[in-house]
Amino acid sequence: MRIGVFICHCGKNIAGVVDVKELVERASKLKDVVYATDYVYLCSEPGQKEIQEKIEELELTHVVIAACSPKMHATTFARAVKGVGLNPYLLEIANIREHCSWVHHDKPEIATEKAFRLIKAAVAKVRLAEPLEPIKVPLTRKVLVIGGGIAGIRTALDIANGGFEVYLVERTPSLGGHMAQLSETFPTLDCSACILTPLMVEAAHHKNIHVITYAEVKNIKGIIGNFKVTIEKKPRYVIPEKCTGCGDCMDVCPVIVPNEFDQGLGARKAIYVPFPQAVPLVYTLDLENCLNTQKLVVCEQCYKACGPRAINYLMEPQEIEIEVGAVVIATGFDLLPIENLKEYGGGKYPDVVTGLEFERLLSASGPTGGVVRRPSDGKIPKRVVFIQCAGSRDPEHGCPYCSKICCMYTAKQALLYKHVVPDGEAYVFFIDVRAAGKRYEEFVQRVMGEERIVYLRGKVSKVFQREDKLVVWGADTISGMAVEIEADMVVLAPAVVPSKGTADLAKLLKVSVDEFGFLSEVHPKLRPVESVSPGVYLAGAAQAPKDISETAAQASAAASKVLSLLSQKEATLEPIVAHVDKELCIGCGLCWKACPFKAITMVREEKREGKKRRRYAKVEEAVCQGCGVCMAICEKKAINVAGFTYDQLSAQVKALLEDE
Amino acid sequence: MVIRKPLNLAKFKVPKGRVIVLAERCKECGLCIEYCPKQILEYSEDYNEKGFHYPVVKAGMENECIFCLFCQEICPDFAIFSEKEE
Amino acid sequence: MGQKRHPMGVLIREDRMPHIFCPGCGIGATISNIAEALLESSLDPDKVSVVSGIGCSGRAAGYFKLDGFHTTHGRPIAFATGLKLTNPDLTVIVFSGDGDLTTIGGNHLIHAARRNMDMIVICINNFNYGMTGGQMGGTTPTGTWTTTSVYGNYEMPFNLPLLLTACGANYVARWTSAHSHYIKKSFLEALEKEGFCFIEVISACPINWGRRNKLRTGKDMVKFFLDHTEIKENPDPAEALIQMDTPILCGVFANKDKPGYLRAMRERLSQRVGIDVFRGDGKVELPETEEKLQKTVERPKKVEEVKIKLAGIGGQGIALLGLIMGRAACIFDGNQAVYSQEYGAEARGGASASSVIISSGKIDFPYIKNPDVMVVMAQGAFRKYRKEVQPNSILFIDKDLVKPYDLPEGVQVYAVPATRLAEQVGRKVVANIVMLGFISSLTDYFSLEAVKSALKMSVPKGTEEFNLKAFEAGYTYGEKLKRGEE
Repeated sequence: MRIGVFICHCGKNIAGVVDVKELVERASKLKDVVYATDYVYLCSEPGQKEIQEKIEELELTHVVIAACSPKMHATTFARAVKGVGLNPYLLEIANIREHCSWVHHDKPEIATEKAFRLIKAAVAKVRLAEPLEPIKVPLTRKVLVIGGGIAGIRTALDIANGGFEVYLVERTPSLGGHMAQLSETFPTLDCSACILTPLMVEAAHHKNIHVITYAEVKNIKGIIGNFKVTIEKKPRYVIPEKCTGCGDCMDVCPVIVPNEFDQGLGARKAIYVPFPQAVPLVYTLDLENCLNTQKLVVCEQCYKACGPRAINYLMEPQEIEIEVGAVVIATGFDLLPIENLKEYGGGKYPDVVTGLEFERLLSASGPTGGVVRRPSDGKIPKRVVFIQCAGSRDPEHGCPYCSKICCMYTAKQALLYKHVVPDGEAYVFFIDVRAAGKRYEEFVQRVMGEERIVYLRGKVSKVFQREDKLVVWGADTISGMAVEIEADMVVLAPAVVPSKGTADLAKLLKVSVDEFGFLSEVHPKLRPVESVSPGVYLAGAAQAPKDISETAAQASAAASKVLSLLSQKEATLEPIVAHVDKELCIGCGLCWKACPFKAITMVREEKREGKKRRRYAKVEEAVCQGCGVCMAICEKKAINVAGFTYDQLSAQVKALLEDE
Repeated sequence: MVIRKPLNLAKFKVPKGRVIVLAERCKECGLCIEYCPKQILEYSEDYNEKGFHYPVVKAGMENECIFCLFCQEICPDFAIFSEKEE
Repeated sequence: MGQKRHPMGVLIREDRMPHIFCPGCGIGATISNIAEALLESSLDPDKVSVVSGIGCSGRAAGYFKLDGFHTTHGRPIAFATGLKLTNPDLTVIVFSGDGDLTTIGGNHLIHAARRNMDMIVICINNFNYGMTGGQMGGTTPTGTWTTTSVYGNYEMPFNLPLLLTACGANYVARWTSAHSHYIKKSFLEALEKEGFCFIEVISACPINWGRRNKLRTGKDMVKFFLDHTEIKENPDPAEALIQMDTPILCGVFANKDKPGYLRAMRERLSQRVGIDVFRGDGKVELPETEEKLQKTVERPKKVEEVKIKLAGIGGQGIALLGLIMGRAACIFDGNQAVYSQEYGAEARGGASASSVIISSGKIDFPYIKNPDVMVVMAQGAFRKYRKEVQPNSILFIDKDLVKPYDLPEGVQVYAVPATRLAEQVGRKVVANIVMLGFISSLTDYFSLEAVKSALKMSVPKGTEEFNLKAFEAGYTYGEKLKRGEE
C-alpha cells in the first residue's frame, strides 16, 4: 500500500488558518504514507497535474486530498485520478476548509490539530478502501411530465421534438395552467391565450406526446431509467372519443356553480369545459355538483341532448401504469389565499381582489368580457389601489421571500386598467419595484410616466369599508406622510406559494422541499433544474417563483437534461450501495423493514449440503441509495455500504479519537 | 376560496318546466315528492276521488322546475309529468 | 289538470288508468320507462308485441297499446317463442314477474336463454309471488318473511344475472325500478341486439312483501334499494346474489354478440337444405327437389281396403317397411293410407310392430283389430302376435327366422329367406327391403313403380341403388315362388 497525501492551501482559505507545512510533515510520518505535499490550489489545472504526475511517478495505490468540501471538487479530483488509471474510490477527501479552517478561523492551533486528525482519519479510511465500478442500468426512453401549464408543455414539446415519448399528466380538465387565465403578458402585452394555445394544440397533436388530463400521479416506484408510474384518471363521465365539444349538454344543464378558472367571479354548469379554448376540448361532468349521484340518475338532460351519446354516468376512475426513464415535475404555483390577508380586507370585502381575480376581470374572455367591474355591485371602479408585497417579504405571513412576478404584473394590470377606464385613477403601493428582466424597467417607467399611474413607496396598514368605498391607509415614505385613499377597488398581489399537492408529490418522488414547500434543486446557481433524486427534474414555478420567460427557459433546460440522459445507452449510478455478507447475515429482516427505499428483499437460499435452508437479506443495487440505515440497524455487521463500511468508519473514529 | 358571486349569471340559461298532475290517477305513493331534485312538490290538502293526497307544486316555486322529468320517470301511475317552458 | 295528456299516452291504454298496481309499486314506473324507450326508438308499434304471464307484472301486456298475449302462468316465454318464430319481423318483448318467469316458469327461461331465442325479457323482481298474496318464490331473499315462509325463508334465492349469463344469454342487465335512466338505456341497447336479452328490474312490492319486512311503503322500499345499490361498469355476475345485508349489484353483466336463434337456424338450414328465406306467414318455400312429389301414375290404382300388420325385432326395419308401403299407396298410387307404429323402449332388440291400412276409399279407423295380412320377421314377434292371425288371411314370414305353429284355418303362408338374401346382397339391414320386394311380387296392393318411388324417397340419400338391389332380390324370389321354382 502506497498512500499519497496532498494538502491544499486553497489560497488563504486554508493556509491562512492552518499550518500546512506542519501538516505535511506530520502526515508523511503516518503508516503507509509514502508521500505528502502541499499546493496552493489543488483544484487548478497545474494542481491536478501535480497529483497525476506523483501518482504515476511514485506508483501510489491510494490518495488522500485534504482540501475543501467534497461537494465542491470530489468530481474534479476523481476525474484526475481516474485519468492516470487509479480507481476513484481509492481516493479520500478530508474537508479541512468547511469543517476546519473556516469554522475555527480564530483558533489556528486547534484548527491545525483538527486538520491533522481529519487527515489521519481519511488515511485510516482509505487504507480499507476497495476499488468500485459504477453500476449501469438500462434506460426506458420515455418521460413523464407532471403538470400541464406552460412549464410542462414547453418541456414536453422539447423532449418530444428530440424524438422521445412523453406522457404529459395534468390534474385539471385542460392544459394551460395559470398562463391560460392571464389577459396579457408583460412586457410586450401579448395576449396570453394567443401565444399559449398554439403550444397547447401542438402538444395535443404531437405524435410523441400522450396528453392525459383530469388525472393525477398516484404512485411512482423505481429509480432513474426505470420508473413505474401509476396514474389515476378521474372519471369525466364523458367518453372523450365521442365528445365533439359541441356544448349541447352544457346548454341544458340546470346546475350553475362558480367556475374555478374564473376564480369564482364567473360561473359554469355542472357539465363544462373550463374555458372555450380548452385542450382537449372534451366536456367534464362535475358529479359533486350535478343533481345525480353515483347511485341514482335523476336528471338525464345532458345525456339526452348529446347527439353522439358521449355521456356515461357510470364511469369509474381508471388506473394506468406506465414505465418511464425520467420524470419532470412542473406543478406550478398558487397564490396565498386571500383570507390570509385580513389586514387588507381579504376575504371580508368583495371588492378586495387578488391579482389573478383582477386578471380575469381584465380578460376579454373573462366573466365580464374585459370590462372591469366591482364584484359587489358590478359598477366600473374609478379609483383602484394596487398593493404589492401582500404577504411576500413578510415573515408574519410565512413568506419572507420575494415572489418576483408581482411588481411586473401589478404594473401591467395598472396599465391595462387605465386603457379600459381612461378616466380612472390607479395607485400602487410598493416597497421596491423589481423589474430585472429584459425591457422590464422600460415597461415600468412607461407605466409610471406615460400612463400617469401614481407609485407610492410605503406599506399599507389597513383597508376597511366606508359606505360603498374602501378606505386604504398607507404611508408614502418618500414624502414622509400618511396617506388615506378612498378607493372603489383594491387589488392585492399575494405571495406566490407552491401549488397544492406539491409536497405529497415530492414525498412520493423522494425530492426534498424547502421550508416554504418549493422543490429543492441540487444547486441554485449551477444546477437549477435537477432534483436530489436522480432522474427527477424540476421546471417552472414549482421550484421557485418566476415569470413566464424564465419558466420557458427552465423548461427547456429540464428537457435538455432529460435528452442528455436518454441519449446515452444506459444510466450510470454511483456504486455507493449496500452489500450483504451472507455468512454473517442471520435473516432477521430488520434491514428490510428499515430501508426507506424498499431496496432490500429477504430471500431463501438454495439448499446446501447438510445445512438448513435459511433466509438472508438481498440488496437491489440499482434501488439502493447508500443511505446506511441498514448498516446502523444490523446487529451482526453483516451489511455494509461500499466505500463506507463499518470497519472504515470505525477506523476513522479511532483515528480521530486517538490519544484522547 | 372566498365566496364570490359569479358576475356573468345572466349569460347562463337553464331549462324550465311546468309540472302537470293528473290527480285522479295518483295513489299517494310520495315518490315524486321525495325525489324531486329541487324539492318543489308537496302533498295537496284535498283528496282525489279515491281518497289520496296528490302532489302539488309548493307555493312560489312554480318557476323552479328544471324539466329533469324524474317525477314522470318514477311515477308508477302515469299521474305526473312536466312540460317544457320556452 | 286532467285535460293534458301524459306523454306516454300514445303507447299506454289510458282508458284503463288508474291501473291495479298498489301505491309505490315498481311495475308502473317500469312500464312507463319501457314505453318512453319504445317511443324514443321510433319502432313501428305495429311491429312490437308484448307477452305477459300471470301476476301483477303479468298484467302489463294489458296496459300497453300494443298487440300481445296475456298467457298462462309461467309460460309467456313459450308463447313468445312461438310468436317470434312465426313472425320473425316482430319485436317480441316478454314482460312478467319473478314468480312467473323464474319460479314456476324457470324451465322455459333457461332453455330460451340457452338457445339464445331472439326476444327481450323484462323480469320484474319483487322477491315474491305478489298478486296471489305474497308467497315466497325463487327470488325471495333468505330470512325474509312471506306468507309461506313464516319463520323466515330457509332457502337461497336465484342469482338471476349469474343464471342467465351461464345459460348463454346475449345481454343480461339488472337495475332497480328507481333507475329509470339505466332501464331505458338497457332496453334501447337490447333492441339493437339479437338473441336473448334479459333485464331484471328490482321493484318495490310494498303491500305484499315490503310491509311484512319492515319496509312499509313504496318510498321506504325505494330508499332501501338506493341505499343498498352498487352500480358498476363491469359487474361480476358471481357477486350478484341478493340478500338483505349485502349490496344489490346493478349493471350490465353480459353483453355478447353471439348469433341469435333465428340467425343460427337460418345459417344451418341454408347450408343443408337451401332454405334461407322465412316468409312472414310462417310458410317455408322449399326448393325444387329432384323427384317431383307428384303422382307418378295417371290413374289411381284401385284397392279394396286391406289391413296389414307388420311385426319383428327393433332394428329390422319393420317401421320403415310399413312406412314405404303407406307412401307407395297414398303418395304415388293416389290411394288413402293410414300408418302407425308400436315399439318398446330399446333401440335394438325389442319388439317392433307397425300397421298400414290401404284403401281407395275412406279409412275410418286407424287401429287394426283383424289384419288381412301379417308380415312377421322374428319368432318372438310371432309368439306375441300369433293370436291376431285371422282365418283365411295371408302371412308373410322370414323363412329362416320364423316357424309358425297353431295357425287358424285357411291362412296362406308365404316365406322368403329375407335375412339371408339381405346378407347376400351385402348387409343384413336391408332384410325389410327384401321382404318388401317379396310382398310386392305376390300382392297387388300397390303398383311396382309406386313402391319403387316410395322406396327411393324413404331411404338415406346415396343408398337408393343398394336398396333397389335388395328389393330386386326379394321380388325375384317372389316371382320364382309364383312359378313354383322355390
